Order: sequence, then structure tokens, then C-alpha cells
Amino acid sequence: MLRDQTVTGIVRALLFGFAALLVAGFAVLAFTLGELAARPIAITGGLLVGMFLALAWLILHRLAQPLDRLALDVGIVARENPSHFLGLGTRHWLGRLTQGFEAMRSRLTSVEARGAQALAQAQNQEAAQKRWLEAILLDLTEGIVVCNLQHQVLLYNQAAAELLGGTQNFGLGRSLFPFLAREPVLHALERQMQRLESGWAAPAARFMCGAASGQRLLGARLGIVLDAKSAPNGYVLSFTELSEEETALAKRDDLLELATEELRAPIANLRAAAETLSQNPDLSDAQRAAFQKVVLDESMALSDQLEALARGYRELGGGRWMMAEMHSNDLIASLIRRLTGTPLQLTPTGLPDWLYGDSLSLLILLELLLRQLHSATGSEAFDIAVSRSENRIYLDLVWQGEPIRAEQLESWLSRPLVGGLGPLTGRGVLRRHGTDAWSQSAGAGTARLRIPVASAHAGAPRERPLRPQRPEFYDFDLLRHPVPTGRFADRQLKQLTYVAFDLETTGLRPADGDQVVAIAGVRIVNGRILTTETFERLVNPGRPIPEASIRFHGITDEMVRDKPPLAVILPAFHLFAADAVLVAHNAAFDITFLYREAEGALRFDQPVVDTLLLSAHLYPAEADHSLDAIAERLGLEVVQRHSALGDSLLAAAVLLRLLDRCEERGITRLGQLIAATDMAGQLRAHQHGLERHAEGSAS
Amino acid sequence: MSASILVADDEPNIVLSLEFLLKQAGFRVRTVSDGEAALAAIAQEPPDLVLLDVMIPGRDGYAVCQEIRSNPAWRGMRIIMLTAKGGDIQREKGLSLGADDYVTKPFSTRELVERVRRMLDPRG
Repeated sequence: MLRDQTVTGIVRALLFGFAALLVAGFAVLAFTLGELAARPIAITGGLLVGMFLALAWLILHRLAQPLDRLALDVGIVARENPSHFLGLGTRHWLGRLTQGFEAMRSRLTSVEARGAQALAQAQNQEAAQKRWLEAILLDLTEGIVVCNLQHQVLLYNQAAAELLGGTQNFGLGRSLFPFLAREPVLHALERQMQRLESGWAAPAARFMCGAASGQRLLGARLGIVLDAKSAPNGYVLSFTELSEEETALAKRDDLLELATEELRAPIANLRAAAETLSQNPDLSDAQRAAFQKVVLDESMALSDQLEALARGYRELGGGRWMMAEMHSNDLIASLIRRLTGTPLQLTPTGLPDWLYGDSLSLLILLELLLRQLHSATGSEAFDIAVSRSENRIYLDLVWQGEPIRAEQLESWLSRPLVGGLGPLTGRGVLRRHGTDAWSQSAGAGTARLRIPVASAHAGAPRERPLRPQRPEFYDFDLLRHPVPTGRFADRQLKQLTYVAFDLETTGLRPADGDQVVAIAGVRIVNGRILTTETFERLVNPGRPIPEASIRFHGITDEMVRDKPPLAVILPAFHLFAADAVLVAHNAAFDITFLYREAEGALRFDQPVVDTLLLSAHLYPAEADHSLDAIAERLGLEVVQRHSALGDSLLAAAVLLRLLDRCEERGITRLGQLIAATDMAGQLRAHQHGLERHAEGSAS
Repeated sequence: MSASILVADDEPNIVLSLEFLLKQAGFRVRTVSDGEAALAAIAQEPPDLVLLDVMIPGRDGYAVCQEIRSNPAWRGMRIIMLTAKGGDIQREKGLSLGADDYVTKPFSTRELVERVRRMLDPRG
């Protein structure tokens, strides 16, 4: 191959070839011309060959060999020794080439030197940062693990390895789950992702988690790691050991110290007096009375102090450690997911609310109780009812049949839970939540298992946006029409199906062109608010939403821009509300909007119950029958008030309470109820000195 | 005949005082120290009122209370639960399971006897 050969070799071969051609040429010439020309040809040929040989020598020694030498040297400079000396000497014709090469070499070495310097600097910095990070991680008693979304460990510290059961197999690139229970981590990750997707600022999720080795319970936090484009690409876990004793100790230390110090004195007094009394039978009556008084006073003082301590302990929250706010709907949705594939049917009812607790342990406890209830009672259909009482949220599992006996419940609660919570039992979960569970009759042949849980905003003042009161509407045609038909009028109130609904609008004057921007409703069946059977849609009103209305319901032009108009949405709502009695607060207002749009096959021909008028009928002495006022009187609270769905839920809860009251008053049929509210409406209109509402008759 | 009371508690020192004070107040008093014995004593001769400690051994106070309430024949029996657990939830649990009253230890003996008297004779 040509390129493997040296320049010298090639040039030499070319020169030999040319010389051979030259000699052969002269030989042929001499032969052709005969003896006469032989002599001059020999002389000329000899001269020419001599000159050629001299030229060839020069080309070989001044050009070809120096080029080969240079190639060799350049190779050494490039690959081995940048400062290698070029051994060309001076006898060559490559002057400018070597100059150019030297210039290139000096430039290359200086660039290289600067690069090396920068590299060394960067390496130093990186090493320093790494040492810092190592020092920080090493110093932490908390275990720290960083994982990618495939749960491979990207970084961890010594504490993490120790807490997770030894350094042996724990390592970078390995999966986290042989060492940490899978379920709690996935659950926390899922919750964080949901929060992230819903655009919430997501503080680290706090949760309990068992080390996979078994006996250790950890208190953990999980935060999502975002990449440069704000997409999640991993998570950070930090955790500490959370043994029962440790948490208890940490929290109760102060209280215990207080207890021992403060109880010491009165117990000393009591003991001294009791000993004196028993060891001295011959005390005088006055002496005996004095000592008896000491015994009495001190034991009463002790009782008081104990009470104060117990109060202090209760205020500590009794084991509420890894707790976080959660919405009952999320908890119940997770529970229903966990029950897929089982014959158990769970129907969420009641008023959704915010709880304060540990999501996973509650979930596992509820699942365990449902499964046990199923095998004990044979029931497959359960309601899970959420209700509030002051600062507590009741989670009730409701079934057809008898309550569960206390000792049976106790035996279910004493078993260790499965699902990554280490040695925790159901009783332990209840203790951690500072609560208990019991089963009792829930009336009408049903029983419930009740678990009270702390409410998320226990004690916190609630925000109540100021709401401009809607004008009360008194259009009796709207309410009376259609009159209760035969299929509804004689039905028991509690047995009817209702749809409580609410609208948000661009304003309060339907006659002036105000339009619907949101519609929501919830179904009530057999006296239960079915929290998952809801309807909730935004509506494009076809006109700008005034600032005043946005302030009230929070729905902006932007939010409804790509939403369909009411004409498109109403058929779906019509279907949702089919065969149900409509319920709304200040119903004429909402009905005005509904009827305006509904025509032909879409007519709403079911009766309408107005909770405002019903309240006015049942509590004639009360002046304020706004939804807020009624809810406050009945002790009802709904989160997300002033959304169409929140108000529907509240109207539904108000209706159920008012129906109880109706029964007490002997109003048991819908026909009676409509008649009563009708009268209440007329009275009210009269009291307010109102004629029929002008807008109502105009529409 | 005077009203009869069953005291179910496994703390002999409090039983000593309760028995003495209730007898002094004119009641007939029997005492038991665990859940099974309480139910047996009730079955043998239903008392008018049970002073029922929550933490008795065997079937606990909640279970005994629930058992009493599940028997229609004992509907009129009054139950006062005594407990060293002071939480609101425990109180609510006791009342939900059918107790008429729920008293946290320590209590004033005089007040307790007064409460018993009122419960057995609302007019007095």
C-alpha cells in the first residue's frame, strides 16, 4: 500500500524507473541508428545519466528523506512528546514547512497548558463540593436517599444504609425496595405527583414507612426532584427511626418532668399524714382532725394537678406524628382502588371534608376493617360516610345488619397490619391518631363502625369570602310549576331521590342577560349524599364575566373560553337529574336560568324543593335564611364553599337535616312539603313587602 | 326494697370506698372484678345500676356495656362507666355503646354517690 510506504521509498522507486527508461531509450536509439551514431549517443547519454543521478541524489537527500524524518517527528510530537526535537538538521528544502510546524506546536502546547489548568481547577472544586456534601450527609443522623423514578438509588448516606439494615447490599444503582417497604413510598410519591400536577406548591410528603428488614418503623419525608424543564425526574427521601418509645419519649419528656416535680410535694404530704395517722393510734381528736384534713386537702390537690397534666397531654396531640392534611375524597378513592378485584362495593356518602392523619395507615386500617366486616357479616355493600362534629371528622363504615361486638373489633385491631407499616397494629394506628373505634346501630336495620379522626383545620379560623346576597326570588309559578306529579307527591320524603344543584352566574339579574358560568349537582339517594355521583361543569356564558362575579366565584373568562355553552351542557344535566326531585337554595333564582334554556324534550318536569323556603317554614323565628346562616345553625361545614359543587353539597346536607325536622313535624310526603314551602314563600314575600319579582315574570 | 347496684372494678382500694359509701347511702351493693363475673352477676339478679370500670380484665367495660344493651330485658338498667382514660373520644365511645354517664377517675366520691342517687330516683 502506497500510504504505508515512506516518501523516500516512493521517490527512489520512481527515480530508478526513470533511469531505467533513460538507459533503455538510449540503447534503442543506438541500435536503430547503427555504429555511426553510437559514440555521440554514448557521450550524451553518459552526461545525461550523470546529471540525472546528481539530481536524484539531491531529491532523495534534501526532500524525500527530510520529509520522512519530519513525518516521524510530527508523529512523536503529536502522540508522545510535545517538546520532541526535530532532528532535520539544516540540509533540506523544508524550511517554511518546519517553521510552520514549530509555530503550530507552540500554539498547541500553550492551549493545552491552559486547558489542563482549568481542568485541574474544576476537579478541585468538584472534589471540594463532594467533600462538603459527604460531610453534610455523613453528619446527618437522618437517612438520605436520592432515587430516580425507577427507584434506583442515585445517592445515599451512611445513616440511610444503617437505618435500612446494613451496608451490605445497599448501593448506588440498586433498587430501593428490597430495603424499604414499597407501598408507603409509592403512595407518598403518587400523592406528591398528584399535587404537582394539580399545580399545588408541594411541600415534602410526610409518612410512616417500615424498613423491609421488618422490625423498624421510620418516619419519612419525600420530595420530588425536578429537572431543568421542571419535569419530575426523581425524588429525595429523608427518614429517621420512629420507634414507639422514641417518639413517645421525645414528646412527653417535658410533661413527665413537670409531672414528677409537681406531684412529689403533695404525695410527700399525703404519705406523711397517712403514716402519722396509722402509726399513732393515741392522737388527740384535734390532732387526728388536723392530719385528716391534710389527707383530704392533698388528695384533692392531687386530683386537680392530675387533671391539668392530662389536659396538657391531650393538647400534645397524643401521637400525632407523621400526620398531614388530606381530603376524605382522596382517601376514599384510594380505598376503592385497593378494593378492586374483591366483591366489596363501597359507596361514599356524606359531606367530603379535610382530615388530619396518616393517609396510608388509615387506608390500611379501613381496608382491614372492611375485609373483616365482610367475612363477619357477609355484607358486600358498604357505605363510607363522612360527617363532621366540631373538630372531628367521623369515618363511618355502614352496612345492613347488626353492630360488631366490642371484643371482636378489639381482636381485629390487635393484629399487625400488612402493607409496609412494620410492627404496627390497627390499635396502634388508632392510638397514633389519638382516637378509638366502635360499632353501633345506625338505625333502620343498619349498623356502623365509627372512626373519629381529627379535622384538618381544627380550631383554625375559617375564611369566609364575603358573598353578596342573591336577591330572594318569589316567583310561585316557577316553584309551583310543575306541581308534584302523582309519582312523587305521595312518596315518603326520605325515600325520594333528589338532586341538589347550584349555579354560578355572570350576575344576579337573569332578566338583564346574565348567564350561567358553572353548574353542579349531587345525588341524594335513601337519605345519603352520594359524594361520587356528582355533576360539575364550567359553562361558556357567551359574554364577559364581570370582575365582581369573578371575585365571588373565582371563574374567569380564561377558564370558560374553551367550554361549551349551557345549551350543550344542559342535556347532560337533564339526564343526571332525571327522576330526581330538584333541590336548590333560593331555588327560583337557579330555576329561572334552567327553564330559560330548557325547552321541548329537555323540560325539567320534576318538582323543586327550595331549602330557603323550607328553612323559613321550619324556623319562622329566625331572620337569616342564607345558606351560610342555616349551615352554621345546623353545625354543617363544607370545604370549597362558593363553588357550585360545594354549595350543592351544602344544600344537600341542609336538606337532609331539614327533612329530619319535617318528619318530627309530621311532614312526611312531598306534597305536604311543597305546600308548606309555598306558604312560607308567600308569607316571606308578604313580610318583605315584595310583589312578585318583576324579573321573574319578565323571563 | 332499696335499689341494687353492681360495682365492677378490679381496683380493690376504690371498691372498698365505693362499697362502703353506697351501702351507707342505703343501696344494696354487690362487687365483681372482671367482665365475665359482671355479666354472670347481672344474669343472676339484674341490678338497677352498674358502676362499670372500662379497664376491667376479661371482657372490658365497653364489651360488657354493649352486651347489657343488646338484651332487651335489661333495657331499664342504668350504666355509669368509670375510667382512667380521660379522652373525649373514649367518653363518646362509652356513650355511643349505651352508657348513661361516663366518669373519669379520680372523682369526688360524694358527687358520684349523688349522681347514682339522682339517676335511680330522678324525683329525689
